[in-house]
Amino acid sequence: MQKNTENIEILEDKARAEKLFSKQELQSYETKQNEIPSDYFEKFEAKILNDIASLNKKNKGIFTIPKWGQLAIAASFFTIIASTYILIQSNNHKSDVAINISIQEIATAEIDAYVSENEALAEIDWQAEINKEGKNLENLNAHLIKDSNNTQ
Amino acid sequence: MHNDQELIIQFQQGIQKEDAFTQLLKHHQQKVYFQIKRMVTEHADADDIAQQVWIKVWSKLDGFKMESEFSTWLFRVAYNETLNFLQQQKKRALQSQSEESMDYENAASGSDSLKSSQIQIALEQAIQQLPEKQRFVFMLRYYEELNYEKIASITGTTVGGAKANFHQALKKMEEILKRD
Repeated sequence: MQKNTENIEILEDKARAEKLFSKQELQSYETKQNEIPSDYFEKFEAKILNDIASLNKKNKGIFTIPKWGQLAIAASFFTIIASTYILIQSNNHKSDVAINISIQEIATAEIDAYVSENEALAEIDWQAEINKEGKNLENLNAHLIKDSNNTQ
Repeated sequence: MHNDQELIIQFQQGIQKEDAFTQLLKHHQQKVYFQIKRMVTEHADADDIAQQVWIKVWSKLDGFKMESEFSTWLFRVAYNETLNFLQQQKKRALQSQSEESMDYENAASGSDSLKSSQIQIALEQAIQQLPEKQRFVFMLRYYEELNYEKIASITGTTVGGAKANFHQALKKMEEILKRD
């Protein structure tokens, strides 16, 4: 029923247009628009499919990561950073313990021996420093005496 | 033989996507092309626009929700692409108005038009002078015999608006005929 009414309306509208231009003229306008190269639609179909294939290739060329992939990358990155931090921390702790243990494990006799061996070197150094300071003091005294003599 | 809806589901599910698309293309390509050609008249232009329309259909069909008929959606894509083309053409014509007037004269007195009767030329000119929307509505109503609801969804207007566009198109063509 509705379809019939629609069809009647369409025919009425067409009739109004055909009052301005004849049906033949309107039809020949359409015929003119229908003039297309032969095999156009077959070629068009092939062309479109070709365009789409190259479009797909282009899109495949662009490296896209799905959301779950992005999350996986972020998680593994975080894991690497966290485990590196933990590893460094435990290594530092281990080396402190190692130093403490090694000092505690050295026998007192060994420490004494080390100190007495290096005592001579330390003595030499100290003696050289004292001699140097002594010479400086002597020079200073000589200068002071000269100055006091001059003023007198 | 599948109907449009089955083909769209097949496409959206990624089952033989290209086959489904090719079938849709085969079903509808002629109607789309001729509607565009009625608007732009030149085959090369119609071919370019039709190409863009089908590439857009390929890329957007996944998101098509089937709230309207596929043919309505397809004509809407064609309508938008044609309008874009005509607007760009207008811009180019405005940039070189002298060239445009030469083109218009050539079009009116081209070899094909010379063969046609004077009324035929008048009809072509009247149609070409209609505003794009009115022209599109006139073509859909007269040649495609579509109901106003479908025309309204294609052109993004109300049923009343579509009716008004058709009547204004007739009125304008009458004025053009009287003037010439």
